[in-house]
Amino acid sequence: MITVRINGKEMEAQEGEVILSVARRAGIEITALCAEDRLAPYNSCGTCVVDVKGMGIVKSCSTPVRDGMVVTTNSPEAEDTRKTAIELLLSNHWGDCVAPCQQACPAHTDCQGYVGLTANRLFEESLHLLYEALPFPAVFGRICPAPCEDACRREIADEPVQIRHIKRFVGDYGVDYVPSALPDTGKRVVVVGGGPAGLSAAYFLRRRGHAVDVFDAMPKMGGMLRYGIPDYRLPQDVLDREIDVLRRMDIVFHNGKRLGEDIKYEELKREYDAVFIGLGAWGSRKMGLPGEDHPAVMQGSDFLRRVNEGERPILPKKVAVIGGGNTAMDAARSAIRLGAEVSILYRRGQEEMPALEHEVKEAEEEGVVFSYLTQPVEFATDGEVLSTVKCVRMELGEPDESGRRRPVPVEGSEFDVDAGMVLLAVGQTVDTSPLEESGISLSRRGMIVASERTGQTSDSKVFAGGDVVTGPSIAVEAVGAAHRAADAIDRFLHGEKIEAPSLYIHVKHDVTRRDIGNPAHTPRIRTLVRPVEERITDFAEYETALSKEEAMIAGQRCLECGCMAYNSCMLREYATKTGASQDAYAGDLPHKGRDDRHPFIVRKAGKCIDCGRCVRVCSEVCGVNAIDFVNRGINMEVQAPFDEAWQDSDCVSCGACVDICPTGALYDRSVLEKQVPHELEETESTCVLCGMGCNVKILTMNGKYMRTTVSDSNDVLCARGRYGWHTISSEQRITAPMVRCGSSLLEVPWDEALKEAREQLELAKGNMAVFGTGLLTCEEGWLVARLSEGLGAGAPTFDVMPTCSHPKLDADRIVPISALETARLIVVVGQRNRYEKVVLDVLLRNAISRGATVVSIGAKVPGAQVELELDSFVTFITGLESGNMPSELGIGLDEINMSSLFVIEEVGISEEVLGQITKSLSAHADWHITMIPATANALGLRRLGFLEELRPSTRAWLAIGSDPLATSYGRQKFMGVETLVAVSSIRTATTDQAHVVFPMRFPYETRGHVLTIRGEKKISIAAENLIQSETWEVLVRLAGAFGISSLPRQFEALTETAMHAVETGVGQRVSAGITQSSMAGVIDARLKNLGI
Amino acid sequence: MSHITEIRVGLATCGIAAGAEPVYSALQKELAAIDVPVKLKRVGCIGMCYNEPLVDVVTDKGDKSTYGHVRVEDVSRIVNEHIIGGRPVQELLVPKDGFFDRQVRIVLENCGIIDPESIDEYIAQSGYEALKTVLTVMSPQEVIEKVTASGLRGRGGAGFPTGVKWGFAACEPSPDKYFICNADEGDPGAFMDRSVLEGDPHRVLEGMAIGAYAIGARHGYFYVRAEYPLAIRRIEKAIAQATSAGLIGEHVLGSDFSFEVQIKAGAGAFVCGEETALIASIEGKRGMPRKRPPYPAVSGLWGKPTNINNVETLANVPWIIRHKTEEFTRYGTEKSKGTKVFALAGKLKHSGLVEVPMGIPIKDIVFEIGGGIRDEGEFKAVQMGGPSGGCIPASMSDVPIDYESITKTGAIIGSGGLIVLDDKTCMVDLARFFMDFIQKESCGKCTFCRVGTKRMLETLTRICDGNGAPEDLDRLVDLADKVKVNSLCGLGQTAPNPVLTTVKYFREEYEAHIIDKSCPARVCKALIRYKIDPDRCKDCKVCTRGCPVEAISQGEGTFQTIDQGACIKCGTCYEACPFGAIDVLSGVEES
Repeated sequence: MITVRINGKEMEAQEGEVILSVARRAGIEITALCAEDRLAPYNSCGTCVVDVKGMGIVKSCSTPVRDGMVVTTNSPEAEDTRKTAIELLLSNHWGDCVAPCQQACPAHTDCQGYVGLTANRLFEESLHLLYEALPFPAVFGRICPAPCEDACRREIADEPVQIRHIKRFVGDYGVDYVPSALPDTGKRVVVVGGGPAGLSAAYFLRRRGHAVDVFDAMPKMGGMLRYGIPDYRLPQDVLDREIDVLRRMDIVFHNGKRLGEDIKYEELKREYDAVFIGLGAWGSRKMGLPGEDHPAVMQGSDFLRRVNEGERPILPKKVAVIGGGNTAMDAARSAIRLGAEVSILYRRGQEEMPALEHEVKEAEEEGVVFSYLTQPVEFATDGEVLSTVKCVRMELGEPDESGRRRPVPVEGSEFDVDAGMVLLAVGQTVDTSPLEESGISLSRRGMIVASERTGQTSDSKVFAGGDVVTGPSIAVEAVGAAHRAADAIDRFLHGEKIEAPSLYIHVKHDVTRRDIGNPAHTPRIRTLVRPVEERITDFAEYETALSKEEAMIAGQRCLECGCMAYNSCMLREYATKTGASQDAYAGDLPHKGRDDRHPFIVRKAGKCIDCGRCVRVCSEVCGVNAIDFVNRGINMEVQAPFDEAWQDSDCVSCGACVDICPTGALYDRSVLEKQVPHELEETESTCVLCGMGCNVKILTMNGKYMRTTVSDSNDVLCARGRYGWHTISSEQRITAPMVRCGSSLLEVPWDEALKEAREQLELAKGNMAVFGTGLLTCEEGWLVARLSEGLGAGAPTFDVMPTCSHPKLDADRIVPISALETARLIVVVGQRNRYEKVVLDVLLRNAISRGATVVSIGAKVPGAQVELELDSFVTFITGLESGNMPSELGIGLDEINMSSLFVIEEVGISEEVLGQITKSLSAHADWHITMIPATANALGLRRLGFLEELRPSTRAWLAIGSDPLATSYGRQKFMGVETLVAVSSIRTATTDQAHVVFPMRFPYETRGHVLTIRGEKKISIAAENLIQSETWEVLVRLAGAFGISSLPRQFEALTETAMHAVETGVGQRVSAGITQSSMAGVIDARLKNLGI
Repeated sequence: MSHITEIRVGLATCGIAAGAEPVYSALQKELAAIDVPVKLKRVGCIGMCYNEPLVDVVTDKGDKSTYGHVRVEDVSRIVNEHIIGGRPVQELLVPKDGFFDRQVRIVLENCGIIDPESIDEYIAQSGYEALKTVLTVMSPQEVIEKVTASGLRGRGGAGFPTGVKWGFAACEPSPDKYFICNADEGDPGAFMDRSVLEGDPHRVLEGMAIGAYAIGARHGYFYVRAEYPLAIRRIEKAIAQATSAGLIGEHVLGSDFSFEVQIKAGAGAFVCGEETALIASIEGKRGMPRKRPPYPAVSGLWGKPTNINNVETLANVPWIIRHKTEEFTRYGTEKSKGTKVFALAGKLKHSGLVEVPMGIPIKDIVFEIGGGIRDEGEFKAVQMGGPSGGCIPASMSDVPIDYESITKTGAIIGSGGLIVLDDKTCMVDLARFFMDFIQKESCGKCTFCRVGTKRMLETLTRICDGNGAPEDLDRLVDLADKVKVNSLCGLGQTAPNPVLTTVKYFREEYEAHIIDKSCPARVCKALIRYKIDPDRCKDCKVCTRGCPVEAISQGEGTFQTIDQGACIKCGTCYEACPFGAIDVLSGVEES
């Protein structure tokens, strides 16, 4: 033991241990991108640098500690070097952490997320995601100017994705959704102002579990959304419905309460734990012209409010609207709808007009006449009525501070515009006079001074956001500000630091059409707009929504810019920590695209940081060597040989490279067609598709299966377990009972199917066979056994193809696979396929690195010291037994004298081999054997009495989860069988012949226990089901139909009974047959088709 | 009167490239026709590359007449007048120029003298005597002690004491050890190792065998770059000859020492000269360095203790064994003993292969051996050590060449590349050249080397293009320092040297590029312009005809003029003008 000092902390360390590991043990985190626990130190990324006294800057991942060493992980030099390393990596990183649409959205709405989910038909999930950042999706789907679409990269190819329309569709779809809130915190927050800012703040605060009261001066909530936007753009019922969601979340609304009059700021501040002020811009700017006080000269916003409140005033024939913003458009188009002839007077040119382009276009369509470069100078009255607006012609001069060219009057150009009414829309103002006494800092322009990132005002418990801080702006800005403020208030209420650190965001610059993959030209879907002549007659909504199919198609156009590793990327994490900049060392940056050739692994070479983790895990851990670096210097990159697709190399699709990739350069495809960066729920379970019984993590979204991954980051999975479920499409699933009618199967109610099955099977009672499959749980297996007995079929069988018979082994000679951890001579006999063997290979490589000798017989174990063909097994074992090993086998005496562990893979083992092993084992007390069955629960089911062989001549078959007709052996045995009833989750060769078919869940949708070679394991329900009943319930119902009663009705009771039977069962027969589950068979065939 | 007994033709790659093969054939033909007992033989590099093809005519007394720039048509004269007539052809002889005066030849002892493909000739020059001595009268420990006492240091660049290195490997108890000769000479312009292997391969093989005996290795590897086919052929031949002579193989000279040697041809990646990358390459892996420790002496090839020495180092060994230690240590300085071979190149009158005693001042090499700067140029600096090395300005040219003194300047001795620069060399452009080489040859493993050198190159390119910003220089130096400290292997650790030394000694030249947008050496295209002086122009239009982009036309008078917008600055006109009427201008300079 030696002692080192790290950041002043004394640590004991082993000789030879590296600084990084000692520091981590001390709880001192050091950034490290290339270092990984399973891999040898690689020393490349340069981020793990530390300062060692007397040595200077060294890499902690590979520098061994020395006695008395003094290490500082955060000296200025170390931090500077670390930051430079990260910045160099960033300078060569081509990717977006977050899609540009999301970046552009002031509310940071996850546009790519909900667009992608919509494209995948996951409307509910899309809605939930929207609500994470944006209450009122249906409202914003109608009125938002959509800065997201301006940022959309699709425009490079054709047109931006219709993000707003998709939002509208999703918002309209989710009528009944009420987002959940965290448990009550006991804190109370008051919100002043019921517009977009106030309501959003209330929403986000309520979700955090705080009680919220909202006060508003108007009779109804909604603020400018309700009183400023005409109904033809935003119907009141849409707004009502979405505001009602907030009410249903228990936010309390107080209307008709005006600040300073009905409610007092000081009282609110006293009574509540925090205050949010979200007043709107209700005041209007005046022009200061003669005649402006005439009753026929009205503020546009007042006019809109009255119309929105339901007034339908009779207007004079001619109305002039002054201004060029969206309020001017709204006022003009509303006036048109009230029957007036409307002209818009704007003092600059069309180009300078701030209103949205489509608004202007639609106003023109509706008959609004635009008079540009027109400056009113006087409102002339003719007695009581307004007659004309005296104007002067303008011309554009030099650009002003806003960058727009300043209008200058043209001398002698005065002219008149006839108008019986004038609507002023030259700007809105915020009235903060009620706050003048509050002590909160106000700006010169009368706005509240608040932090942009937190909304906190000069009073620490008072926050503000929206127009009252920024001046009049678009509503989505207010939502963003409210969100930031709500988060800050939440931290404030929890006594945390108010300011949250902002995450590093990497951005792609200079994106070209080629960079986005040259997508085929697919224009936006034209949404229908009501014909002009019809729409100008009323205030009903003028634009129609996208249909479900259209929304999906519109979503398909998304280019998936955002990174799939957005929340797990280590480079991003370290860039955030070090405050690194992507441009510090900006230089040549190749625009490397996306490699989609692998069926399951997507590769974005531009995001690769050349840390070599994938290359090293593939060779050092998996022993596969499918990929390596090519080229030199900056052009170095990871490739399969000759730039093949990875699956055409030696890749076994184990996905270990994906798991170890520190960035988003490699990621697993989910089952979705459109890949969406999204948080997934995780459920621990066990893979049942082969005998290894690996722990897995099932990842789901809102209960829908997305993908499978390792349970522990040090594990490896095979392609079957990891990606197998991807290969099965939903169309192939069986979701309801079916009965044969001629050549086809028809879906029928359960009772009918059960009746039919009973009638069919009863005819053959006592002369039938019941099949199970190795992926049944012990609980299900126990029920199958009862069913089999009850039907007089004796013991159930696997859908097995026997190849040999052999004597039994003593149970105590059979050891679990964990024996690999201590064995010295390991003899592996088997013939697994190349992808499936990777899991066992990893265990064996660990054994080899621990010093064990591995003799691989037909098993092709990478790194095995001795590699023999299957047919030399007998020579080998005879030699081993006699201590007289033929020299050509290359095994020394040392090894011969070791106690041996035989690892036998049941699949494909001959009678001769098995016979020889059993014989030899009986003669050598220190030899042991571990048998790897073909399915995870083979051991459990055997103990429950499942047999390997099929009885001859049966009249009926009941196949549960199994597919006997997939094999020629099964088809041969099927001769003479009159009736076939199947329980299956997908269509198989067996269901194609069945008379009655019952649905069954997938293993990740079910629960129970399996007995694997790694011990007893649990299967958990991870994903929601297409089938309401669990498989055990289906079996109980089936049994009930045959009059088999007294079966457990509760799952817990069933587990207890079944597991007791497993424990006491005889079992442990050595199998000699192929008991591969039907599901594994289907998956294997598909993997093979995909080239795996 | 002495007899002419031998004619030697320099047939190393340098000689072959200069056309020595037809000369050799012509000599063969001519000599066959006459009846004079004279031996015609192929020898390795004679050293005076500036005079190739070279033919030495040697008498029985060892007197030597050297013919330079020999053409096929000269052969019959040499044969008739000199061989038959006994009168040297004076006008074809290489004039005495002091090239060899200051040289001391230990490594190159036999180079250019013996037939490299003849083991007998090597043996006749005391070859394999050293091996015999160590096998018969010396213990491995004594060999190590003698080499350590000689003060021999690794000639590959790092200068680590060879005897000490052998001692490390000798201490390892493993029965399987490897001895590797590193012949992956990768520096652009360096050809010392190639010349030794082509000129005296047995010497290196003998050095290896002695080293293998000292450390207890049974297996040897020559790691040679595949671009050296002649060297590979000669080593192959040497191995075959030595094997059949019982000088390597099982039980060498009847002793217990067995040593088999293999050749591994490397694909020519610069980084494979780094010992851990070299080992990876022999193992069939991608040539990428790894962190040391463990040093190869502990865990090298196939995880076994391994010693790696450079060609020149090993070529010293037989000589050291054969001589008294003081014979070797009398050359050199206190800490750098013996000699060093340099490949002299650049703006010198005499370039070629030279071997000098350690401690000789730079200026003596430049002026006494190299004959000074050619084309009336002004001596500006030397660049030593290739892309890993640095520039030493003329003002420091009395620095003695030894490991410590050179390292102190910021350059390194390196493997022996020595390029002499004159005032027409732009130091920024030179740094850019080496950085370009390095960033292409970086294996790509470390961030700092992979991305850092690329970003440094980009900065240098910006500066050369006149787009440098004032802050670029400090940022460049800062990044260079970080690349130096944080790179894993010698390639990256030394890659910034050309930049750092040029910034250190020629900062004003960088500043001229950045601030004045001027290239004082008139090299950087973006910063120069060609201008025809109307007074000197004779209106011959040679320039106009030669201009590839038709940028030159008749001026308003009897002179030509260059359209600056169209000019691509290829310099063709400048070279072509018979009257020197074209000026190269840079920055704000006006003619």
